[in-house]
Amino acid sequence: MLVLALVVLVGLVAATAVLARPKDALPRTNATALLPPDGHREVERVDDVVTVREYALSSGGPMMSSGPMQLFFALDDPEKLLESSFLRLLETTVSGGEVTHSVTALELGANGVRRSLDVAGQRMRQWVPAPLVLPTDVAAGASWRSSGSVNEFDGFEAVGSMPYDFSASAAVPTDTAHAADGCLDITRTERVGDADANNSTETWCPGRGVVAGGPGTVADSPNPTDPGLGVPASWKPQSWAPEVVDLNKTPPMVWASALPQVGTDEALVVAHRTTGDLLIAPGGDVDRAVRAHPGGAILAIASFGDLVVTATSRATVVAHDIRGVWQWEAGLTDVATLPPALVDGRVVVADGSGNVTALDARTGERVWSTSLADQVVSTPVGCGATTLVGTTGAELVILDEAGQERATASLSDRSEAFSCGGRGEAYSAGLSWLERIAPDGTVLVRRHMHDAIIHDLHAFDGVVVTASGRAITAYDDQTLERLWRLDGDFFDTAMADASIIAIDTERILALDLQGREVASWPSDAARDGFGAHLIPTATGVGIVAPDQQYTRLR
Amino acid sequence: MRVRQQAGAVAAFVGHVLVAPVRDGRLRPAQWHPALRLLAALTLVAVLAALAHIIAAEEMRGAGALVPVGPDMYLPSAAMPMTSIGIFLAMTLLQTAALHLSVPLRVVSLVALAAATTGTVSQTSDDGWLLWVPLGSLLALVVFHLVRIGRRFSTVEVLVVAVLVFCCTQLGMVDADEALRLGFETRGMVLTTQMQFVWMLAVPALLAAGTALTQVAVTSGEAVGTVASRRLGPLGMQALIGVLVLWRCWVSVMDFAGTTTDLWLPDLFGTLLALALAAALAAPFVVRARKVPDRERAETGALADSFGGVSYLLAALATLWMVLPQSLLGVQALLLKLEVEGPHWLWDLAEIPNQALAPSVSRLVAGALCLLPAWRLAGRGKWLGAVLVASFMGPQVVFLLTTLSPEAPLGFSGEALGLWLQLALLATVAVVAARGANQRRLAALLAAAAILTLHDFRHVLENPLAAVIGFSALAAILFGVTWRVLTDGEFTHGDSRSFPQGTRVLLYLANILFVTTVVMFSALTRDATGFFDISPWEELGDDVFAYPLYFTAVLVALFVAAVDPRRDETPQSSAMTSSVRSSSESSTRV
Repeated sequence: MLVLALVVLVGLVAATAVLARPKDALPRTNATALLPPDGHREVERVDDVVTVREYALSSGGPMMSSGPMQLFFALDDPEKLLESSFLRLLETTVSGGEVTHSVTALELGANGVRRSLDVAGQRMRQWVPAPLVLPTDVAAGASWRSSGSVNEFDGFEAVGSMPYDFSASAAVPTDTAHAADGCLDITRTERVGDADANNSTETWCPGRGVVAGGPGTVADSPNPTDPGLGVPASWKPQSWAPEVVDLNKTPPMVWASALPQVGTDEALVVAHRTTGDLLIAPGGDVDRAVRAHPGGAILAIASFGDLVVTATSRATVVAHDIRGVWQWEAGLTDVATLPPALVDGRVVVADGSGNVTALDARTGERVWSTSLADQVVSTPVGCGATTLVGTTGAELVILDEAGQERATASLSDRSEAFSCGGRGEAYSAGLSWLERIAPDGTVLVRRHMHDAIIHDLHAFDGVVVTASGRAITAYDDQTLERLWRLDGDFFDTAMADASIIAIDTERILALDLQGREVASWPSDAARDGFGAHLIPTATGVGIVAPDQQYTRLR
Repeated sequence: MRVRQQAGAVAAFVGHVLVAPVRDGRLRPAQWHPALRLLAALTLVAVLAALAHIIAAEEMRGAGALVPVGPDMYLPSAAMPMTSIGIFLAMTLLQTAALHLSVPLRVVSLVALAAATTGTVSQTSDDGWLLWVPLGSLLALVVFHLVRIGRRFSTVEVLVVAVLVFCCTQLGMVDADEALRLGFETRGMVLTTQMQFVWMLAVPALLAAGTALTQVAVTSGEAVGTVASRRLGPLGMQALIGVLVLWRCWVSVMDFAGTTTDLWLPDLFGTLLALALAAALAAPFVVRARKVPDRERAETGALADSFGGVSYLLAALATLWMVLPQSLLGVQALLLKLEVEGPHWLWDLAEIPNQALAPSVSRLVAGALCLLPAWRLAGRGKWLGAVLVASFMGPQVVFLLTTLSPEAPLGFSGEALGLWLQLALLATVAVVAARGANQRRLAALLAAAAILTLHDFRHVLENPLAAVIGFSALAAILFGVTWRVLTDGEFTHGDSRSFPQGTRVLLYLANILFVTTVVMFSALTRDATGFFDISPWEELGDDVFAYPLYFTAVLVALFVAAVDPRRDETPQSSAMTSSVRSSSESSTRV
């Protein structure tokens, strides 16, 4: 009986392990060893033209969910979409201030990589059958060809069909370094319709895909566009008017985002949940949305002016500009799930292992990194050149401009929100206590709050305002005596420029610092009690409702 | 010769602080049923694997493949098998133990499994066998409980329970591929659902683990007094006491320097009120016990021994009831899946543990529930446990008052407690100076000063672990878990018809695995803001459940120093508790 018990128990433990074994959400493919991994990026600069190639690996379902809609045509048999795996090549070209994007869908099959679709803006080319770009067992000396037809679309409207003839051959690269790395030069000849044959040679390297190379190119060149880091908000809510954009106008586009949206006056930015794509829609126009791929899944997102910064599941921080142009990437020790902050021209990010890292916002270079004894519980906050960080040990750690611990304040309870006030003082809102902290870490004043789960805290000149799901409350910034309180079911607030914007189940309202309502607009974005997140921009706020209606107030 | 003396002193100290508790608390597997030894071996392997996951947490998270398991929370996919195994094995151990427990405990364990099961099946997309097999297995386990009433532990029980628990908790993991093709890893949510209930079962052990640093500080302080009294003369003792008293005065001044009176006065007042309430509550028990000739003696070591069981009992009573309302969430999820609209009162009941008053009231009630058996024990001369319960309840009254009236000038803090104890120490020094110092009084005075000092430095113990693991809270919990595992095995030595040894062993193993699994899950998800953050439990254990031992130990030592209740006994017999005696003897032999 004991032996039977041993066998059964070990068997059940083994079965438990098998059922919970890691299953990669990304498709595993043996299409060819030359394929790059998800998130791989190559940057090429030829004269003044910068080309960024970002690779995104996904199965068909998530790829469709991210869009663009035309990708639905990427398969001969759409029924097999869920079973298929794709490598998307997201190519961004910057030339003379102009930015163009294109997407190439490469289907990963048993016999190699096939090019299914090219999308550039509204124009699309569908290759039927999809030509073989790389056979599985490609080697120097191999050659292959495909032929068929190319269907051209403008949006979803077919505008023509032409025959195509495609041939390619593989050779050892002339570049000895590439040759030593096992790369192959793929020379292809492509003739579409009556046009002249287009000849080109690309160098494919194991684990990198098409690599940058040739005279005049600079690989991994950061910062192609130098985006602005924003200006102080200028809000005049009395004169704001709502403008509604339907994000669902191109079904079945799904804006599957687990993270709050960010954006600027010009564009809405969404972190797509299942592909890890960054979707940037100018003015919320989904037809003009461009995609970038930081790599892995996006765990946190923030925007600072025209710079969009993401933290990924690959333990990296990746920056793009608001036009979708990759700027830089930096590695972390652990993944970060708190949104990065901008402090004195630096992107400060706290990872899950208690490391706080400051990166140059323009280059991504690490300026400093410090390791705390406890985990970080809230997004770092800038206070002049110092950085405020709250830890699980109910401490406020004040880091100086070199990342050194200048002071530590012991708080009454774990902080849920910080804000920086005048004279370098900090304010902390915990579960029950609002505290005012001197720059040397001394707690100057402590006041019990009648609100819990504070989701926003902002120190204005003379007034500190807290916002919870139950009330917006203002306190004197010196004594922390309560000045006024407005009860309500507030799902989110945004505060800047002596204005408080809040959303409840029926409306968005604007308050001044005396608690007076200065404007309001009906809104059912928070009707269902979730998904209501205000997106502050330089001149107003935006909000995406669960029914995918994007409202801008400015 | 001098080196030998010093080595002897160190050996006596180590023997007192480390060897004796571990020796007394070790397991005795030779007395166990063979099936229990098999389960213990499996548990040991699982615990070691979980520890390896904890140590490698940062590397596993940085490796890239993360599974979302909640808002802003990700688990390395490579850790999913170990998490699942931990849940399965711990639940199997608990359910097997529950077959021989009292009816209320059977209900709690079955409700926890039921909640995990309903929560799991509600996550599946299948309405067929993946729904009905787990629910059927749950029903079968209830029937098995009835069948096994009055029977002795047997290997068959382990087999049947393991298979049924597997069907209840693990079949939900089958249904993942379709969602995965759409980019969603649903198994992460299944694990999270199960962990919510496993977590609640592990809370008593987490709280107990949070008290370990104080336990070690108290036994160390007592050992300092005992060992020094045997190695130093009166002058040396007085010098050492003087240094510690001065140091503690400095610490007390620094605790309050730079803060305004409105910040610390409420704490001072509230802490004094808590101490007064604790003394008032403890007094009847002490008076009752004084009538028993063979009563427990006022010894810090004996107090620390009593604390092990008392802290577990208080933690369990204060938290395990939450399993019942929380399990309604699983019922709600299942009703939603079956498209049945459940009554709203289910939600209201499930929300009870989240009410602001719930923690204070439940801790107070837990203390009150312990008072009745404590009264009986005091009648038999066992009063130390009752004093600990009373010491626990004093601060709870203050916590309840501050929750009810947040604006009232009341508080309770370690700094304020330290100041009051420091004042008591100074007063006792004066009394001893006035009455005349003997070696026993000086030993007790030194023990009190050492406990106060070492308590300030207790977190030093977690530093080596923190260097490996990265976080002090995690290190403190891990230290506490290890300490309690090594020293709490005495619980498994007993055997009775109502609480047989097999059940004790199974509960002990389940407890270890529950707490190790939740610590691993917390370390791997790095949840700092949500449900799976262990640091609040560590803080609660350290601040709320350990303080009674801390201040009672100091006050008992000061009482001994001031009154010297054993002045008529020979110094040899009075210097040591039984545990100290044996360790000192062994060190003498060394």
